[in-house]
Amino acid sequence: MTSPARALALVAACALALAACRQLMPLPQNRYLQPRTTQRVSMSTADARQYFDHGQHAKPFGVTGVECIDCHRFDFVIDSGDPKIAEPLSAHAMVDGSAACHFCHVDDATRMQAAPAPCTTCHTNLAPLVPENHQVAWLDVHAAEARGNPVQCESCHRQSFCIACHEQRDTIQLIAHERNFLFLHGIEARADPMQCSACHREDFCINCHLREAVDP
Amino acid sequence: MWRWRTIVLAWGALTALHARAFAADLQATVKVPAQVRDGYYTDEAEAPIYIYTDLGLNRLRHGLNFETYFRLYENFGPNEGDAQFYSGVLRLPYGIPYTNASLGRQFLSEGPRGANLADSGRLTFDTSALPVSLTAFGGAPRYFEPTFSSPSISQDEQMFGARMNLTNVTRGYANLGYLQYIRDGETLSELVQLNAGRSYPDAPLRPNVYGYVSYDADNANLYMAQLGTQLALVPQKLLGSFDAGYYDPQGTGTRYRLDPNLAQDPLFQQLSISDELRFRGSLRYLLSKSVSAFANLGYMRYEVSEGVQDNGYLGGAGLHWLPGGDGLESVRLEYYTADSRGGILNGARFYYDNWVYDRIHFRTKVDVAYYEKITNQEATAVATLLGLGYDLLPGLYCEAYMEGNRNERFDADIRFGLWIVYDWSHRFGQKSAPGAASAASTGEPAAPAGAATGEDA
Repeated sequence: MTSPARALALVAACALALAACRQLMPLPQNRYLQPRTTQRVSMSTADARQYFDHGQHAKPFGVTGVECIDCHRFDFVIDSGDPKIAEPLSAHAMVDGSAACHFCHVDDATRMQAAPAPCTTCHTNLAPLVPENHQVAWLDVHAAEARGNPVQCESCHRQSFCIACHEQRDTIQLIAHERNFLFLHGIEARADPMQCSACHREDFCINCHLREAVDP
Repeated sequence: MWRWRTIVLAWGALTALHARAFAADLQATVKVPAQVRDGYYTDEAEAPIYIYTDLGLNRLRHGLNFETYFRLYENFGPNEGDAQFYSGVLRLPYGIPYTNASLGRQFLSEGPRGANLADSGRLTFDTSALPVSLTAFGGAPRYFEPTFSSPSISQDEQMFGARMNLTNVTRGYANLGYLQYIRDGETLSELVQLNAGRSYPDAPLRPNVYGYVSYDADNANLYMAQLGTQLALVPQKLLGSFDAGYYDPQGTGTRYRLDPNLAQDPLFQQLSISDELRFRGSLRYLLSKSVSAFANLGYMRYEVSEGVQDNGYLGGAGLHWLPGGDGLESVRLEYYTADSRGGILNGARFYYDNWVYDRIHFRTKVDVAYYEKITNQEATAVATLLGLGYDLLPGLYCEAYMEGNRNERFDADIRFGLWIVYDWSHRFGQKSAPGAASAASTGEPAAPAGAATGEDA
């Protein structure tokens, strides 16, 4: 066994052992080293409701004739002038799920043009909203979908999300290619030449190949 | 000097905005990757530092959004050339009735070697009274990497186009477009494009189908075509993705163009004189709640020189395990391979991420590749990384890491790095967005809001 292979085996074995023995990991009673108590990504979209603002919606509701009962159940009456009491009760009385908000903001048939459609208008936790088509080979697929229907992407992603992969190119981060790719790219480029020019111009090749005088 | 002036001006503007009472979303993300390593060309130590900053001001009056993005670069060592970006986009989504407008500019500074300036604009007319929306755009294509003042290819490039989008397609999209690409005053292509896609969530296998055809009217050839589908082969268990592609940017059959400025895709032309056919397939199988297996295979065929066809293969397979199923740990092991005229490659990668401790992120990565090239080079490349990160404050994440690599260039390539991310957002005039600030720092889904600019290259 060669030494790099031995090193790989050793590191992989150690990390796997660490992963497998999570229950045995030390979790001391120390304020700087506490176990994380929640899931890393919450699977709830309940965070969206807190962004609703009655004042902001008063004008469009008035124009379109939306009334209280369109969003709230009125099987009980809130009889309080104190907003500290009325607001949580009012929120509790809203119809379940997303129907009330999505009626104007999302649903194709009933959407108001002036109502912002991006998911991020209200949602801060996008994890539960990840569509199924993102779960297999999405890196291969996303170019075609983004070209055909950019509005769909923009409903959840800002342009900086694209920039984070497409434009943050430097010699430190490993975003699109791993560190070894420098030595392997000639093989992969010849396997699928159209893949390279999706991101790179010819200048990018020439600059290195001329300096290093490497074989083509 | 003027880069600091830019920062000061930006912060000054933000402070002034803060002083005024109005509703707006302010969002800022700063990312600083830094590294100490041996130089690839010189063997001298170098310490490159990049500063990426993304400043956005959204939901101003009339729905106006303004986003800026820039990258500053400094290398404390031998001066390796690199580029600095400054870009900004101003968007007015439906501030004018039925009209979504955006205007963008990117400045790519490459020190004494030159600069690349790209301006573009996009205008969409969309009214619910019509079954279509119309978009027109134009400007210079953006490049995301140094052009080094284009020693071979002219920077005098423009793209103009229009698109008609059907707005009443349920669970899908369809649009017809036109794109003209001009370089150095010469029209390289005039593409007529058709995009369509639709998902069928109630049909067997729940297919999502997409397709794209682009015909170059200037050269009378089929420029690009793609047809793909994603399927739930076994619901909740086995997902598949399959696509076929065709690409022919030469425009003149198999004739090699000596002047790269006349080639639509000079990089592709370096490797192929013909069109390329591509078939790809990927599968993902959920073995259990916490373990999934994946595999992918791609087959490509093109002509290297007249009468010499080449077959390329890219593939891989692996396992992804989430111990505990709660996402606090992630283990990924994968095998990958490539086989082409350039050589044969076989490799394996291992990734481990751990968020078990509050505010702490530990990660490790090992990549080993063995390759035999057509140039008779035969070697094993090893790359490893060990990183430890900490959420110093809400929204402020810092990671220190070490890389240990061994390859044909370095017997031992040791790198030390630092990775700092500060993500901050504030909602003026309304309730602020709790939790949004720290999302991006640990790689969790961020909480963005907004849209994109004009067409990219």
